Amino acid sequence: MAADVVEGAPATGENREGETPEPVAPEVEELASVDEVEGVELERTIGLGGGVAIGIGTMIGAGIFVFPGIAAGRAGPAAAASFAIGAVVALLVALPASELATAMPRSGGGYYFISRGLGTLAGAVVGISLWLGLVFASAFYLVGFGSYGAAVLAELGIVLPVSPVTGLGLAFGVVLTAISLGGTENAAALQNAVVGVLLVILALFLSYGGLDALGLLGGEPSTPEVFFRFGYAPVFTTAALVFTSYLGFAQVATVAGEIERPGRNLPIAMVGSVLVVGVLYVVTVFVATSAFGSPRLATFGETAMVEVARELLGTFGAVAILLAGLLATVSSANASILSSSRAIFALARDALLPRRAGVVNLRYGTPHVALAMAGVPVLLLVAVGQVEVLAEVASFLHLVMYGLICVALIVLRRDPPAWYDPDFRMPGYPVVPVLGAVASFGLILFMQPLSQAVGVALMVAAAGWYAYYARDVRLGGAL
Amino acid sequence: MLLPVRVLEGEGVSTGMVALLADAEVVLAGYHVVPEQTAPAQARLSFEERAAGKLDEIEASLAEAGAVVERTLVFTHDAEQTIQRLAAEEDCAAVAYVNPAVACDRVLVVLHGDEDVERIAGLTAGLVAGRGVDVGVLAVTEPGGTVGSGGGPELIQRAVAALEAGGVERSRIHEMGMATDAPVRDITLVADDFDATVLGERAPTLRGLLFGEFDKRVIAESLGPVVVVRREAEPADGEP
Repeated sequence: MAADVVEGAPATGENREGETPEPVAPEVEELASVDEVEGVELERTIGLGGGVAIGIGTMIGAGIFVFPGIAAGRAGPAAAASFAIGAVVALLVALPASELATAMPRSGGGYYFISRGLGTLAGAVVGISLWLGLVFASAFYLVGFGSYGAAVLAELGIVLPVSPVTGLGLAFGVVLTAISLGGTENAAALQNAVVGVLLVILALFLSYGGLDALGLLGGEPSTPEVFFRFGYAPVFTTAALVFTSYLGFAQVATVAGEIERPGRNLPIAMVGSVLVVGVLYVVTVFVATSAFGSPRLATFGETAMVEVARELLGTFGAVAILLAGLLATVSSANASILSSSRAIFALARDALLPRRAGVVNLRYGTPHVALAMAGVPVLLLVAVGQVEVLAEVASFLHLVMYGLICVALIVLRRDPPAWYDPDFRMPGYPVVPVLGAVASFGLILFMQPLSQAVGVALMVAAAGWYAYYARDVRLGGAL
Repeated sequence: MLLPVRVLEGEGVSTGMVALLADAEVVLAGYHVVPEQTAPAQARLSFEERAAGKLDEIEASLAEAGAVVERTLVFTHDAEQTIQRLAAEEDCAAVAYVNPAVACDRVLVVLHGDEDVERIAGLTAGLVAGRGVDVGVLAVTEPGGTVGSGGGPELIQRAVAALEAGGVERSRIHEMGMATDAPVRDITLVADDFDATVLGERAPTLRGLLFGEFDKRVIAESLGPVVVVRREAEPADGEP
């Protein structure tokens, strides 16, 4: 490990503007509902349900409502295997991430673990990647939203001279950012309810579709299609693409500082949400490819699920899935913008970004600078509108973080500093984190060259920023 | 006595409120509710100094009046969770909700039969005894509501006895009774003639879940400060 690591010492050093890292609560009890820092208490208010809803709410928008058509076009029915691979990789990372999150339940999630476990350079690169990764993810979800919005217009018989996808995505991006800037108090409760409704709709729809696909509802079992119709390689490249559907569990960790009883709730929320969405995704693709066969499914693009629902349940099904798709993509985009702003705050608190990036305005109580730093680039990317590139770059930046989370876990387990006392110790050490790291980095290799290039460029830029702005800041090993 | 104050939103502790709490042990809890977009830790970085300054002023005025003050500052997403946690943690018998009041000469005690009359009256006596404060005891009966075994008059009797035992002169205690099917509205109408209101926390009901707890609605409608006497924690609660 780096020589600058001092066990339990507070973070030190100054950035270019002479700001130093802020102290954080020294210890967090397993069942804590409040943190105390220098006489000020910070209430933890997100319960288990809220944590699970953040995880599922962030993920479900992409995997079910955007990807099935695209993925089936690439991998055929074996797209189900791609989603399964994604779920396995996500689980391999969710376990180490859970352990680290219970050892360090703070805002910033993966950034926090890596900056403390592997030192400041790695931390800075990951932190900035997390911010930008979430920006790419939000843009991707908003384009998905635009597609659903466009499908609604089409359903209503409104024909526009230009495709309304980008315009709708942009408009809603502006709305979401504006709402965030104004501050909300009950949006999370609303989001929990939305996630519940989505799960019910999907459970009903998928049970029906699943039974139908197996021929149990009296009809002909669907035509068996060759499972690996495009061979094995596309299964992996598709897994790399659809991995964006699994980014949400790490969002739970970015709000770890606000979760009640973190020792218990964080692992359950992270691992549980991956398991739930993983099963839903695999079943969804199975149902979708059974209903249509992958070549036709692919022609439906982002809103393929609407056509699947129409085929199975008629117009009612199509409308239900349209609404569900709108809700799901909005909730994903919203959760990602918020997590992105949390990541910026974590960086600003540690003096890796200017302190004013994390400042909160008194009138609305919201971090307007951080929200703008998340919202504005999101809009730029929505305007670009390349769904697959947006998704892959988001996945790229997250996968690097996931790989490093696994490495950080191994480093911390091999030579644990005095403060390292996780409430949840993952099973399967060291095999699982090693596999997790290999799988995370490995998945990156299956991406399109353009996505890889953009990802690498962003990371190099992040490292450059660190070297320029905050070279003297030391976070490694500090709690 | 827990005294939660939304410290950054111009909420202050009025002179009447300071007078009411002059003989109490007060846990002064300055809190700031941050929206979901903001991490509490983030709000702390921006607002701690300002909030602490405001809290200093309130603490000084309470201490000057004679109250024993302990203080804390909390950043939270959920005020109610914070208030309940602090009240339990600090073992506070009651929570005083801030509302403006110029003086503290007349205090209303509201009884509706569901609560521990002796506890409420005893706590009130602790606040006002020997200070020349008039106490109105109001027994509220609702058609179909839960009223103590002996009805309104019995509740009043018990409250008067407890107040006297706590050192409040009999001549300063005024008995009132009221039958109503709109208790929140009618209680606050009566309370408008008083400087502060004391009432007991009700057991949670389905109706409370749907329309807001009774005490919260009284607080929202009242012009003056409201002291809510907490129900005694059930022993089987299991919380540390």
